[in-house]
Amino acid sequence: MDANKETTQKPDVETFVAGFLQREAGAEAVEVHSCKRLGGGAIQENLALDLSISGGPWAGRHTLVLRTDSPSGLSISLSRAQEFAVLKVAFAAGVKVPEPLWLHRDQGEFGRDFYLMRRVGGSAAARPLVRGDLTTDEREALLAEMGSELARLHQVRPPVASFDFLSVPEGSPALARVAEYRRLIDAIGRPQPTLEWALRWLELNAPVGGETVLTHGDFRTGNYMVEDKRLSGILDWEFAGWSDPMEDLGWLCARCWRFGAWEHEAGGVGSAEAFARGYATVTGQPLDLSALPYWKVMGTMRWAVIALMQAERHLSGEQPSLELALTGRMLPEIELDLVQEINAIEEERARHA
Amino acid sequence: MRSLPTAAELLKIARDGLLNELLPHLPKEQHYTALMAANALAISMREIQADASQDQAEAALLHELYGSAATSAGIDEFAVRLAHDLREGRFDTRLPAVGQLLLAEVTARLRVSNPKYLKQAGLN
Repeated sequence: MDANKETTQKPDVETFVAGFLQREAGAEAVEVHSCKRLGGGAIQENLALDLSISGGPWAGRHTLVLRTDSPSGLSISLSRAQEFAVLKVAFAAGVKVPEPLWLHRDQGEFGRDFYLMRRVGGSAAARPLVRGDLTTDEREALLAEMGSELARLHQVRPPVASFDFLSVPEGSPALARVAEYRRLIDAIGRPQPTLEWALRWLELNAPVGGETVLTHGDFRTGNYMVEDKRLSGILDWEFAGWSDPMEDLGWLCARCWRFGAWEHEAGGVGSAEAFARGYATVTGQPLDLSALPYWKVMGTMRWAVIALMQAERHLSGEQPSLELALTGRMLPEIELDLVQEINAIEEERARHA
Repeated sequence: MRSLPTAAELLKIARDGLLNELLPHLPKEQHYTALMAANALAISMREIQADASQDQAEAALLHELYGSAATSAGIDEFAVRLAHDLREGRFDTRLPAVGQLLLAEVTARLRVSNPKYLKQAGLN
């Protein structure tokens, strides 16, 4: 990515975007009313832009978001241009996403790639949502909406011509993940017996015959917008890829993404069953949740690997940070989740044996 | 002769000062950093107080699986070996039993890093 490029002598964002839009939107003039940084995202930088376009097909006032890489990128995530391609496909599939509008491929004139999308209303903040005063019906309705949106996304199947950067897993997506996580653990180079134990279990218990669909890859509370108690948009597509559809639900339901509200399995907000009901309204057939416990373990595993990588950025001296350092000390929590989740599945299995 | 107050006592009083005297005067944007710093002090304090219990838990785990060859002097080497053996499937016939042993070792580390989490997870 463009993390190391010199960005000092470059034009400021507002001036650059105004010129960019004049060309891209065939405008006579572009006036930027405000430009402010939006919170969230250690990897990406999001700017809220309020601007007016005069002349051309886009004449009028627009509320946009400009998304670019921030200086410290994670190598396993998509670039902005790739993310833009994913957003286009998701939008065309009818998924509630911010409409992607223009992509800037940098040739050195600005310093980084970026794209512009329509700004979605509402808030993505997890804690207020999880602790909020939603009624049971409102919670379940929100989960049903998430289910139907993800069902629309999961109807996108390989191949997609514009996705030359995404590889389709050979064989089982679950086994491909196990191999990927082992590689990432090996790259850090410290023994992780508990994680290895869980990975072996994930390998031995990988579901067979799953489908391979377009998945969001980071669908969790905090990455979708809620406005007036309704889902208004799904954000943060940098981990999208071809995988098993249940991986998205497993990540949403993993204990680490309930923000303390353990009683609400799906994202600390509602139930997986409500999600499944919404999903079924789109696919026309019931969503089989029998593999969900497996994919929750896989989600917890994913968080363990991410936490290790984040801690490593501190430990290696690359990015000394109190927050990253403390993430390293979260490992025992994640390991406990892994052991408890796997033990619960095995106990359940023994009961039915 | 032992220097007093102990390291644990110093960390505790430093943490109290941070939370009770400094935090109320900090702008809101800095609260998160201050709370993280307080957490780092608390973890350090518990680690000192836990003495060698984390290492002992790991040594017990390795001893259980590899016998007396895995003395505490060779802990790191045996952790590498355990990770490798698990990946290669050498414990496949007793994965649940190994899970129980790992649980005890993880619990010992969690008592230091986040004892509240243990409680929330139904353990103590």
